[in-house]
Amino acid sequence: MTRTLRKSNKFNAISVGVTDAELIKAYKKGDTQALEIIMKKYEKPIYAYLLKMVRNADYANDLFQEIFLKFIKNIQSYNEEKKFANWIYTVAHNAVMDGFRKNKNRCFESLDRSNGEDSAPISETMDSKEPLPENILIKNEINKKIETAFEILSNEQREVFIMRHYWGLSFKEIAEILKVPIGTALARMSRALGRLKVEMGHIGEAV
Amino acid sequence: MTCKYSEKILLYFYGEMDNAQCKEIKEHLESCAECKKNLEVLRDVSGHLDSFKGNAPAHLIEGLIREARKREIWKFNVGNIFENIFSHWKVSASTLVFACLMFAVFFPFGADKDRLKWISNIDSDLDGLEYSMYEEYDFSLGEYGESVEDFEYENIDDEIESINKNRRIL
Ligand SMILES: [Zn+2]
Repeated sequence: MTRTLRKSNKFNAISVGVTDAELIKAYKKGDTQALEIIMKKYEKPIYAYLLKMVRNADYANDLFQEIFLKFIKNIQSYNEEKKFANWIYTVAHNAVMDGFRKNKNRCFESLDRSNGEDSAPISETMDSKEPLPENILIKNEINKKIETAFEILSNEQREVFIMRHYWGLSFKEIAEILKVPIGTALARMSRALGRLKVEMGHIGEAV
Repeated sequence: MTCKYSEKILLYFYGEMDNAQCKEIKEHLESCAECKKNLEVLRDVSGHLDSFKGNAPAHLIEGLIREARKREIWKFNVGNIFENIFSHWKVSASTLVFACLMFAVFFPFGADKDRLKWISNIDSDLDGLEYSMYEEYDFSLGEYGESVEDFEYENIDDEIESINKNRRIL
């Protein structure tokens, strides 16, 4: 008990310099605080990805729990030498794609509109720290347009965009997770950008 | 027509190019309106994605930590027993062997009444044998006792007689 606590304090103090492998090793030995640190580290990229992909807060919450529960349940057989980021991102990608396959007949595009009462729409979770009051309107308008434009993208196109942005992975790493050649990953994003450009074409005129 | 640099613009924007490639793109951007526009859209979209907080609700993390702790407690209680057994395997193994031996010796006799009878027969036979040995021992003791008596008195008598004889001579 004392040993665990001492170790946890060590992680609190220098958690920035601690590698994922070290945190997982500590968690394997029973240090749940190490798990908390690793969850906090991957919370934002995973949750942002889920919310942007499924566009429904309740469903994103379920998937978020499912992904980390998989890690918690299988911790003893998890090999910490594997790159944790790639592992958890692959699990997240598979969870989302499985969900899309299972809910083929469900219209995901309408999800965030149909559940307005229970969960906050994505636009409400935007950063409220706006730079200048006169920019708020313009920024909101642009954000609204981009969000609408994002909706017309295919799941695959949107995913590459989100992975590259929120996960900070290189196109090569994204291609590995998607199990496609790097050229395919780049082509998907390029096409996505082309569609966004068309959708956002009249931003300047609208504001 | 899509510019052949459209994918390279992506690599350029996300910093996945070396210096020479960067220079090439910069030169291309001077002359290509399409790529320039693409880069502009990319910056807008990126800014939009940046403005997203993306924090999971606190109760999700708390719930997962609770679940992990619950598993730890179970692992500590049950897992520790196994861990102790395996870490002190020599002691555990010899204890097990001893327990099996005791079981093998006592359980069959305790379970079978006929065998128990057989055992008590042996016991009474042994008692009989012990008694006869006792008798045998007693008998030999008597014989031995006689010789002791002979030694005790005959020798003393002989000695007294020889003393008296000596006295008479004196
Ligand atoms: Zn170009």
